Amino acid sequence: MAKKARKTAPKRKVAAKTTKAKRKPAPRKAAALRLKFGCGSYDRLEALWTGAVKPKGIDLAVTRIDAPRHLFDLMDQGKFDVAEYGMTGLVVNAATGDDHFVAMPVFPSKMFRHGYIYVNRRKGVREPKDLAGRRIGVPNITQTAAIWQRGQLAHDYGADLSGVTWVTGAIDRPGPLGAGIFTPALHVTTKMEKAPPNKSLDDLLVAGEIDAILGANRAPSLGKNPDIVRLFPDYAREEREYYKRTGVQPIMHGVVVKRRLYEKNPGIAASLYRAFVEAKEKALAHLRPWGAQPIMLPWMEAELDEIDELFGGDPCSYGVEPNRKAISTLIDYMYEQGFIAKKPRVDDMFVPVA
Amino acid sequence: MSGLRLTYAGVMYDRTAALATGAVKPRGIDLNYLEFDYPPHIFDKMQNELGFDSSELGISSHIQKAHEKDYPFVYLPIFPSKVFRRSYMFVNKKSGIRTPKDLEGKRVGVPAWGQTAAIWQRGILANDHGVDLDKIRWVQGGVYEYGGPRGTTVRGLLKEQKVEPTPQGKTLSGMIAAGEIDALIGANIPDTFGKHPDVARLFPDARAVDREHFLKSGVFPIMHAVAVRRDVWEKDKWIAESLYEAFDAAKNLALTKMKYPGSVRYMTPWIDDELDEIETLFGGDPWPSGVEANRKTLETLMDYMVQQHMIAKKPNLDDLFLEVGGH
Repeated sequence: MAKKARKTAPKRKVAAKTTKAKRKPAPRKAAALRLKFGCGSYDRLEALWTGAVKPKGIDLAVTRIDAPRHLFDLMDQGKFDVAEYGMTGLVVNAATGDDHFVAMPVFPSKMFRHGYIYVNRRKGVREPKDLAGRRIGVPNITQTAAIWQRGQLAHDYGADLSGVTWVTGAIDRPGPLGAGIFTPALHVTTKMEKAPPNKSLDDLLVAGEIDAILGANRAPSLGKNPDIVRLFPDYAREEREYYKRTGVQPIMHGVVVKRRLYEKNPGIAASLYRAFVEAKEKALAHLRPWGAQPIMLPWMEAELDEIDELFGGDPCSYGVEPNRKAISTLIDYMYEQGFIAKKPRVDDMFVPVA
Repeated sequence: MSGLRLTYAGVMYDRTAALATGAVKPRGIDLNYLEFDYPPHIFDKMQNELGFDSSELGISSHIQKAHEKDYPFVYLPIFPSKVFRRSYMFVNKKSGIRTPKDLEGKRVGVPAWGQTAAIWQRGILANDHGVDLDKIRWVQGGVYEYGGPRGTTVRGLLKEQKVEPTPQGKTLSGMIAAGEIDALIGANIPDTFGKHPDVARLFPDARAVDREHFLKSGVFPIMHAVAVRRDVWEKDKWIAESLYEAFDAAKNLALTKMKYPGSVRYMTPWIDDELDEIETLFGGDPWPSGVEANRKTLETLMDYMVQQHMIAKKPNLDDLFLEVGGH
């Protein structure tokens, strides 16, 4: 297993970079195209908002929003030119021929989600198969994390979820998650009901009114109420085995660009892509500092070793090819779960970025 | 509104980033955060030229020198750098070293014998693994580039410590790959690790061993603390409390950010698992500020420094730090 070179020799020059100087805007070139970009505050995008990486010919105005569904809603409302966007929406657009956006093979959010399935112990769900016919909470039926989870439960654990009643609402507070603009026609019969307006999914799980929660948020009662536990207590091992077996690192979010804008300026795709890659590489280099730990993970070295061994040094690969299997797996899951009537071709989903 | 202008030199850690971006501002201070990639560059400039008003600085030099007349620094009990150090010990596979005890009689490289990381590592080897440090032959020099401390003894110790300098033009990283030294400790990962098949970790599962010892001892090795120039502090003693509060707030902000569930904040795929462990092992905060929460760790370091003839007796820990945070 080839490891990447861990560290290269330090530069001798003693260059202090003052943050103030770095943040001073560069003299603007008249020709730069100003684009509004909405995204989450992730390390791999950071150089784009600090300005340490600038896409060629583009003046990128970055708005950070750490609430993915809200961010996608804003993009749907036309508030950004470019935005991080849920993979589900991206696949549905491709399958239905909705051409508001073009997609780029940039995936700022990939996450294993086995650890985000919660059950109430008193309700007798011991293993995935016990979920059949139950009432299960989910923030949105279309949430990408939940689609991955349902697909994995069905395929990898033999759970029959066809008779499940899905109860929708936010996990950590009463009310729905997001604007609910995006609700594709379902091609299969799915029992759905809304959570009562005064209760969160977490409240319902604690009360035993639902049996489990799928989704992308930690259940607030986990660790506080002894009845609320993960379906997979040893989820990290489960996720590692899943990745080693399948090579799939579940993709949550891609990046979309307004189509009209792209068609007028097709060069922006390549320019943005290069900047996304460069920003990510900067963040990866920052995770490997000189003998001190950049982030507060006490066992950072073990994490870095694993990133080298399992992910060849890059745990957030961009581009179609390294992500083909993950994307086609998601498409398969979405087809089976009735979100799309036909499967788009992976290669048709993304604009060229080379 | 302008406050007292102060410079701070430090690496850009998650726990200090909010001070650089201005998301957290120390009360009454206009802090100019000078970002460095490599701590020794900060240390050289601060220790040789008093080049900054404040900076991160090694903890062991402070323990050694704080009592000296005209010592130019005061320290805050803020610890930007803590690292479990077993994963920074390397061996050449052909040296026959299988267990820590096998280091006895061997030639072991170290970038600077007195660096805090090496003190911790020697203390761990001697106290946790029964290694007789007197039986190790030390080779001192640059890990990646030829150079480093010269001379054949380490100065300022209570007992002479012989070291052998790296031969002209050689680096420790190259020497461990070539088998010219048998092992390497210190704060750096040799760049031959992962490339040269003979360079391996002394503890292949360093995490498990570090974890096991942490569960018993509660010690999470501290490397650096925040130092302020004494003359700067004496003019405006209130800055101690203000800086302490701001560093602590910046740290708490970073912890909150790291726990964001919508996606992984950093590209470590199993950050959730790490966060669970931070809850169970570290009570939610692996980087606590203040003397009290770090007393066991700092006392252990001072014990090691006595054993290694770096100090005659342990100073009173509370005298080493400015009183802040209600203590």
